[in-house]
Amino acid sequence: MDEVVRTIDLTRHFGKMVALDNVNITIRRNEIFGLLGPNGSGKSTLIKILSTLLLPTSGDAYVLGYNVKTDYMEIRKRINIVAGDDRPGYGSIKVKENLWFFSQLYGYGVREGWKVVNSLIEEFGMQDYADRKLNRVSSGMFQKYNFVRGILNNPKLLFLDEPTVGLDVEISREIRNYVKSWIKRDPERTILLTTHYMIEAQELCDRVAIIYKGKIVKVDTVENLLKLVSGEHIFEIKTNFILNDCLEDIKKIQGVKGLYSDSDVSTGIAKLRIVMEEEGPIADILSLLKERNIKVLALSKEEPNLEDVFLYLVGSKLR
Amino acid sequence: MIREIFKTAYARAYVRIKGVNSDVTHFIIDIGLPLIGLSAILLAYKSLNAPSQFLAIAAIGGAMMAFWYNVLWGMASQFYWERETGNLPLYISSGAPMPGVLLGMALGGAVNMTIRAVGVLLATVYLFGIKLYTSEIVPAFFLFLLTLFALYSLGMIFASSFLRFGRSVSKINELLGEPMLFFSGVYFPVKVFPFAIQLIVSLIPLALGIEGMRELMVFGNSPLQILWIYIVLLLLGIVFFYIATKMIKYMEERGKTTGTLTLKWE
Repeated sequence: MDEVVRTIDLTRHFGKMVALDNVNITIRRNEIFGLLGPNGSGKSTLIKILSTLLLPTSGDAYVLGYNVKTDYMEIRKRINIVAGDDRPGYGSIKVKENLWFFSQLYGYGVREGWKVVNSLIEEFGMQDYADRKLNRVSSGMFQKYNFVRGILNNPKLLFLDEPTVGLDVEISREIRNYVKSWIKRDPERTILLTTHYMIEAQELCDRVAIIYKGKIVKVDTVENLLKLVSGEHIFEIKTNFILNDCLEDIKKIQGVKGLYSDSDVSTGIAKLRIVMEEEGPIADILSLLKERNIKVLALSKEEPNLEDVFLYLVGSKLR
Repeated sequence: MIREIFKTAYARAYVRIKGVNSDVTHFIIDIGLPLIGLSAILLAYKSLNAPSQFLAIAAIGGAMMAFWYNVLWGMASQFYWERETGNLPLYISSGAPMPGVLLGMALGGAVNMTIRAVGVLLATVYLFGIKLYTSEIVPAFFLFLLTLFALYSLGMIFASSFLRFGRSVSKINELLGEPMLFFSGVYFPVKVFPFAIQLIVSLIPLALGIEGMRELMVFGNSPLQILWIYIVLLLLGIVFFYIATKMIKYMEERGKTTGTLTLKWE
C-alpha cells in the first residue's frame, strides 16, 4: 500500500473551538511527512486522531487502510508515538527495565522483549546508562530512550510529535540522524513528524504540510515550498529595540508580504525578518525606523527558508 | 486475549513492585510510619487496661489499613498521573489490553502492601505481645486473598472512573479516605454500629475482610462460622472486576470523544 494515511474532510471541534478544519492530506509509504505550524495550529490534534486517541467530529481518516473510528485496534498494532514533551516510563526503575516494560505492551514475549531491548541498547549506544534509573538520566539520554521506545515494535507508521523540543543543538542533531537512518532501513516505514523547528522540517521531511488555525495551507516538497519565496526578497534587520505599533506600520508599507520579530531579552536587541516582493520598500522601512529613533545595528539580505514560506503563506511567524 | 491480559498484568506489576522496592528507605518508611500511628492506638488501649483482644483487633485493622490507602493513591488516582507523564496515551495506543494494565497495577500494589502489612503486624505482635490464633492461618490467608481480590477490583473501578477527573482526584481521595476507614472499623469491631449501618458496611470489602480475619485470628472461630463473609467477598470481587473491565472500555471511548485521554493539567 502506497497510501499510509488519508484524511477526508477531517474536522475536530473542542466546544466552539475548531482545532482541525476539513483537513485533506495523504501520506505516502516510506516518506517523512512534516506538519509545520505554530503551537495551537492543530498538529497534535491531527496526530491524536491518527493514533486513535481522539475521534474526529466529522470527516474520515484512514491509517494503513484502516478507519480510525472503527478499526482502531488494527491501527494500534502498527503504529507508535514519540512526543517530545512527554516523560513516558517510570523514574524509579532502570532505563532497560522501562524499555522491557513497553516491549511487553507491544506484544513481545518476556524473553523476546529482553532480547530486543538489549539489541537496541547496543545499537543506539545506550550501554552507559541502560542500568541507570530513568529519573537519573539527562534530557538528551531520555529523548534517545524515548525514541528507542518508539521504534521497539518496529511500527509501520511512527508519529514524532516535536521530538527535539527543549533539546540542545547536538542532541537534536543526533535524534535527527537516528530518524533518518531508521526510515532508510526499511521501505515499509513511514514517519509523520510535527515540528515548529524549520531546520528540522527542512532537513528531514520529504514533504511538508503547512498547517495554521486547523487548516492545511499548503502541502509540497521542501524544495517546491522554498520556490514559493525564491522570487521574494528577504531582509534581516537588527535594531536596539522595537515597538509593536512600529511593526504594524512596517506591515502596512506596500510590498511587504510578511514580517516577524524576535527580541533578545538579555541584550534588548530586536531582530526583524521581512519578506518583500521587491527590494524597494527596504528604504521606506529604514526611514520609518529612523523617524521613530530606532537604531539599525545590522542589515542583511537572507536566503529563504521554510520560516519565510510560512510567513509568505500565512503572514504570521511560525513560533 | 486472556494470555495478553496476564502478560500485560505481569509487566505492569513488575514495574510497580520493582519501582517501589528499589529504594530500601521507602520500605522502612512504609512500615515505620503506620507503625507509629498504630502504636498510639495500642498504647491507649494498654494504658486503659483494655482486654488483650482489643489490641489484636486494632493490630489487624491497622495492618490492613495500608491496603485502602494503596487502593486510593496507588490505584484510583494512578491514571491521572499516567496521563500527565504521557504513559496513558502510550498504553492505549499500544493496543495492550487495558484490563491487563489495571490488573497489573492491582497485583503490584497488593504484593507491595502485603509485605508492608505483614511487617506492621509482626512488629506489633512482637512489640505489644499481641496473641493471635494461628490454628486457622490457612483459612485466614484465603480470606485475606479474597479481601484483596474484592478490594483491588473496587480499586480498578475507581481507577477507570477517575479518568474523567483532573486534579480534583486528590480531593475525592481525601473524601473517600478517612470515612471509609471509619466505617471499616479499623480500630474497633463494626458490630458497634446499628444493624442498618452494619448491612451497608458489609458491602465494603475492607470491613468484611478485617471482620473475618478478627473472627479467625482473634476469637479463634471456625471458617464455617463466617462462610458468608467468604461468599460475599467472592461475589463482590467478581462483580467489581466485571464492572471495572466495562468501565475502562467506556471511559476510553468517552475520552476519545471528549479529548480527555491526552489532556494535561486538567
